[in-house]
Amino acid sequence: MKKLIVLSAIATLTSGAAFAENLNVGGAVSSVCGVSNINTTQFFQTLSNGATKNVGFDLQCNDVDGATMSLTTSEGHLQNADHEDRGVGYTAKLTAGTFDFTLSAENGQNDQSESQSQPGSPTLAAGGVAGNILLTVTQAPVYAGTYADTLMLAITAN
Amino acid sequence: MKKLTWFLLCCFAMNAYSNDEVSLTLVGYISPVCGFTTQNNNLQFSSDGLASTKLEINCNSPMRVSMQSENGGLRHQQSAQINAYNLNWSIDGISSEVSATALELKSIYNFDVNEILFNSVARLQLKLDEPLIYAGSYQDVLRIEMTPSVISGGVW
Repeated sequence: MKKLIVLSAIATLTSGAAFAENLNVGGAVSSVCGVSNINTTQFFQTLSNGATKNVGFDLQCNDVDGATMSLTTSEGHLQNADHEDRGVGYTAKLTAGTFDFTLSAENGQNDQSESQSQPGSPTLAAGGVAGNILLTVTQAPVYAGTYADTLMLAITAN
Repeated sequence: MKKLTWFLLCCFAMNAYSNDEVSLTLVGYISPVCGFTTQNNNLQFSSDGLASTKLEINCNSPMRVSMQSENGGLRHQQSAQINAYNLNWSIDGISSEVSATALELKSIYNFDVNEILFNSVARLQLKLDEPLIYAGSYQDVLRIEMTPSVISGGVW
């Protein structure tokens, strides 16, 4: 009788076994890193020392490690169309969220660059960062003519 | 000798007219068995932050459902970020629903189903609290266990 009770208890435990399954739950987000809503042509009506221009843009980079922004001047100053060594210096101060750095383009040396890296943030990832580049002419032009430079703004995911 | 013959005849006669009753106890036993199949084992959150699947349940006893989330949320595979989501459980034809956060599910989360669910459909809906913003892939593993309840002899 004792044996019978023990056996029936084991049978009950076995028959009430649980059934389990694993569900894999996932999601994916594509990489987005760039600037938008920027006016790519800026023209100083009067080119004079101290003249300024604000260039607005929107910034988004959804890399969790953040992004690196850079400004690169092609000519190293606003170059005179008739004589490339005769130019007018300027600075470009970039501010966007936690980004804040200044490129100085005043000596005519080509391809000078400034950059800054910032960690990722929900605001930067969601695309809610408004940025600005403040262009300031820092030298007085001497010669008549047109002056130009190409300023490249770049953003790269870290 | 004549007396002995009469005595034996009397004994047989009495035996032939006596009554007896026999009770038969009939016992049946059906093992409690619970099983379910999932419509989809790999749930992907859509862009609106929703994911859902159906579980087809066949259980011949009331049961206890246990759930556990491996990460307590969707874990970003390229960082340690955990993204919260909500789980909602409902069974077709039964009004009661169960809701829990993924964080609550990090510890084993139990609830009892008192109905017997033969060929029933449970709906599992997951909803992200906030949109996924960082690029990359996100993952969690949700373990679901159904156990016949102790009333019918199951284990908890």
